[in-house]
Amino acid sequence: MNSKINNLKGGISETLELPKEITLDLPKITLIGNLQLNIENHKGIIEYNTQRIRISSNSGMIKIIGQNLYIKTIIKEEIIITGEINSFEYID
Amino acid sequence: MLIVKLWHYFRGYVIIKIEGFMLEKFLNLVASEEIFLWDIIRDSSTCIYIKVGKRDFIKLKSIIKKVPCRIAIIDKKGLPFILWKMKKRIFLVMGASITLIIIITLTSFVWEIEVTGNKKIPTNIIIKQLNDLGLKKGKLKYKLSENELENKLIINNKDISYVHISIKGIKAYVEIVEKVNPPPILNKNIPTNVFADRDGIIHSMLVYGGEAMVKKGDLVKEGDLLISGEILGNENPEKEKGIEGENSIDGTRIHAWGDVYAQTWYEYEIEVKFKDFMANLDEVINEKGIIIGKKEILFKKSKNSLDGYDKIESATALIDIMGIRIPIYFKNVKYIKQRELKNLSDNRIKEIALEEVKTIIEEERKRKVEIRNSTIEIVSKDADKSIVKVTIEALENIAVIKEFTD
Repeated sequence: MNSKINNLKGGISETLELPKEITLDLPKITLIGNLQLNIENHKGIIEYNTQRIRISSNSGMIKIIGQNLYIKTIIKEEIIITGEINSFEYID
Repeated sequence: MLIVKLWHYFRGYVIIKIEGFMLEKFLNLVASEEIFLWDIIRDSSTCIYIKVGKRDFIKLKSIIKKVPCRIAIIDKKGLPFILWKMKKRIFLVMGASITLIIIITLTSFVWEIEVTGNKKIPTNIIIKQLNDLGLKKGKLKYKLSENELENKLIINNKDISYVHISIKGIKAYVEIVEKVNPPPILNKNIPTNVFADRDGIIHSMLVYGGEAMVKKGDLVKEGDLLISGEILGNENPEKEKGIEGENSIDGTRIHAWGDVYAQTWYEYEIEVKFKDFMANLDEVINEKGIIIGKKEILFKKSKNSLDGYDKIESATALIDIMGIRIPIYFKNVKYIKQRELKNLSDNRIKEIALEEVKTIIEEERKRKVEIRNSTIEIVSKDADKSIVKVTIEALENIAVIKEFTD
């Protein structure tokens, strides 16, 4: 049922060219070089230390690996991580 | 993000340390409450530092109860906290601002006028004129127009060709350049003769008008006719006309003028008193102190009696920044006992005598006198004085222009 609604939403946003992160409630991740990572529409921090940050989102958990990571700002919709980012991946 | 930083600074923020477990949960809770956090630094597994706005910090306190964490304020930053601190020290702030106001008001007046460059016009006359024009002690400097003052001063004084007034700090500097008047124009229509005003041997002659009556090597006496304005005999009237032309008056008398340099002699017998020339610095006693306004405070006083000492006082401004002086002076008093010289060397006596004679001659003649040769002889020498005979051979202009008397 849920997937059917999601498919419909996807189709509508495809035809109307609406931003998908809003219609499908998905995270929007912006990576600036390897210095800064902005995650919009997150669902909270799970783990936070200087080498590894895990953030939950609607499309799964996002794991960020790097050095000297720190959270520059955190608000309800957005989180900004700076530091030396090596990788980030989705974990189910 | 300077703007954001400035915003935080003006709003005021606190740096807090949070210790405990489940710090991520705490962060999520804070974020969901729409509290803005920034610069979240992980220190260790149980400790983070965060920055939070001054007002948000109160909301944070209620959240901290829900998690097993402790909270501590590390630092308070921003303008509101500075103002708050100032409020506690209201008198310090008041004192500082009053001082600032006093300094600004006091330095916006002219307290000193310095006139430089004037030689002929006395300084006090210029200062008086400036006072009348509006530049005086205690005048607000913003109201003065330097250009206007300069122009008015030049108009008032015919002997001034340039004035520059600049107000720096509390001092008004008045720079004056006086006019150099051109030599008086000789009226060439008045027939004249040139006479000698001193005995001497003619060294050289420059005749600009008239007929030379003497020649190089002649011995002349005071009052002798050197250049005649009367044309004697018209053997060569063409030539005379060619030289003098329009200056020739009624054909026979003209304006005679010229420079006649002659070798002259001076002989003086002067007395050199030894006690006028002392050896210096035998014994020095120092006194130091401070002058505030008209009061004097001496730190160091001499214990000895000070008879027979010369007192030399000097005062230097304690603070002198860019010409801004506070009337607090450092006073230094020196007592110097001078020793009388029992004996001057012959050479020294001769030197002194020559110097004295030079000034006497220049005063007497009021002309440039070039000394070519001098012999100095010590006539007598006593215990405290010496009589010296000075003979000088000099070269000078002895020409004096006089009108015809008959």
